[in-house]
Amino acid sequence: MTSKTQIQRLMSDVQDPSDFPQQSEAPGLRLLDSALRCTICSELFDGPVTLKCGHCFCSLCIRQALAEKQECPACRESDVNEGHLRKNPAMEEAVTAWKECRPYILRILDENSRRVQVESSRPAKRRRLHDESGSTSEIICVESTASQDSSTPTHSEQAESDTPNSNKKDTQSARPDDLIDCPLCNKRVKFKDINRHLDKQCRDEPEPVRSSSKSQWDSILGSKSKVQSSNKRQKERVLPEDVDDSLPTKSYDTLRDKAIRDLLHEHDLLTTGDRKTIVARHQRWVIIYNANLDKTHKMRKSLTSLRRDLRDWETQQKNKTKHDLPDPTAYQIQQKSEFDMLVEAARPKETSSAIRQTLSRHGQTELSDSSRSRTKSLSPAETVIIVDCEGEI
Amino acid sequence: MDARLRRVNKEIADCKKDRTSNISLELIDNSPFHLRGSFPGPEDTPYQGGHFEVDIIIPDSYPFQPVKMKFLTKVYHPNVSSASGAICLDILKDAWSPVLTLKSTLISLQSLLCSPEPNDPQDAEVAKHYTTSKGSFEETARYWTHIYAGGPGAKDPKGSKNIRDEVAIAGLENAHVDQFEGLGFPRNKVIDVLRRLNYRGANVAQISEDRVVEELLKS
Repeated sequence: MTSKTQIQRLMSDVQDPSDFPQQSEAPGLRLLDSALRCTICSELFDGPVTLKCGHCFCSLCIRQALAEKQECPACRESDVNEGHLRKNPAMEEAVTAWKECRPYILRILDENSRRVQVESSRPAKRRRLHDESGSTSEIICVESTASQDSSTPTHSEQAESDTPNSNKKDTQSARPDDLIDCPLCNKRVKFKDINRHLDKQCRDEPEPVRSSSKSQWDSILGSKSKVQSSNKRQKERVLPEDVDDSLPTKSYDTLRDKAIRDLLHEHDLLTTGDRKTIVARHQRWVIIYNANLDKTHKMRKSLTSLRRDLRDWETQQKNKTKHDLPDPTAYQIQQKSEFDMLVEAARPKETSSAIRQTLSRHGQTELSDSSRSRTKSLSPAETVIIVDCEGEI
Repeated sequence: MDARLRRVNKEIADCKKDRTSNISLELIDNSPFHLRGSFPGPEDTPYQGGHFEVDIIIPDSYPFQPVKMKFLTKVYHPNVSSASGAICLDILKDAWSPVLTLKSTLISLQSLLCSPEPNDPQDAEVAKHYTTSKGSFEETARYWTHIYAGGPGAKDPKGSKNIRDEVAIAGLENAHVDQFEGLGFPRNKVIDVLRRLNYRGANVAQISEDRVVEELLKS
């Protein structure tokens, strides 16, 4: 019972290609979603990199995989190492765009299927429901465009690059003081004045050209220089974090503890812990640091958040390995009697005839191997129980 | 949520949604890292009709380290320990790749049942049986599928599900066992020795009766 609810709870959080309808209903959507996922973590690519065989993975995933074994996880091409990784910014862009439109497409699909339901059942009651969904969708829509703005080219850039005939876009993005083309006379008119201009049938005093162009240039230059300066400021601020050189992997065996601690200190990392801990910490740091560099600038995390990631990772590791024995020899002495019993049970020739008979009557092949491997993982009490069971058989 | 848990969740969900592969995954206790997988025995093999369960433990460094799998159902197969269920399969050891999933690994186990690899055995005696007399091996494997994996009965229906024929489980012939039992040795001892000597098929002619008696006296 508990396991069932747990699975349901776990599954509610899962996002995967099966969120989309089957190939027959929505051709390509599932395939698209799975094509944009890393086959190691099955998430949408995060800092995608390509190996020399052309297979693509998240930078963090493949760096971890290469630390274990130097081959491509997908095609097993051998002799690949971190030096072969190449950024894949095109894929990263595709993933960013897909992340943005994924919820939107899902919503449209959902609405579509609901509409089909509505049409096939009583219309009067369902229409209201439909309206409701329509209004909520509008809200989401606004949100999504808002978030789009932050990651797509800024307005000023758009206005500069847009051609005059993309009128609709102009009016949408124009501010009251922006100059736009009058649709009738093609004169440049301030956006806030366009209605008056049209009411007077294009016969109002045109703005003095010089001043308008000057103000235009001013605004362009002004805004540009402003942008430049702000960029510069940003760069200056980011600069220490914005070094593009990846960290080299170290051969820790040749380094003293002090040297490793110095390496950690260089990056403002904790230097506490025994040798194993600090080596693991530095290895992990190199991986996440280099993986971060494989992302485009605007997607990169700050060093502070990387340090936080490292801390989180370490606490996770601690939780996982807390079953490690602090003192193996003491444990060995303490458990000696149990070990002796297990060793006894594992030796068929020297076991009591009763155990051997039950085992052999049961048709066990490979007696020595079997009983050894079996008893290894069990406490003596469990072994006895198992032998009993088999006796009954 | 850490990456391992996210991935395992997806894999469980994927198995739930996939109706074509016939592979199922369920939690054993409350941890999503200890699972029980199961799959039907492949068709046109002695394992056909059986339902095979596998114990799955997902290590801390999954998917960068292989999952630990062993059969919970007893299987008579050269690459599966007939006693512990331990599996000898390269992708569970050094040929593991992080792009493999629980589902694909279980499918690999299924195909391992189709194509035994006696040259790299997990269970040496079963492998010997397989190489000496494939027919007799298949009969035993079918019998094990019937007894342990709920497969259809073996070709002679005299052994009902509850009474397990130890001679058949060991893959021996009743006549041989009776022969040495007639000499005054206990039956289970005879089965044990004959199985160890691989007293099956063409091998019978090569092993003299004296040799068998010698072994029987030794044990």
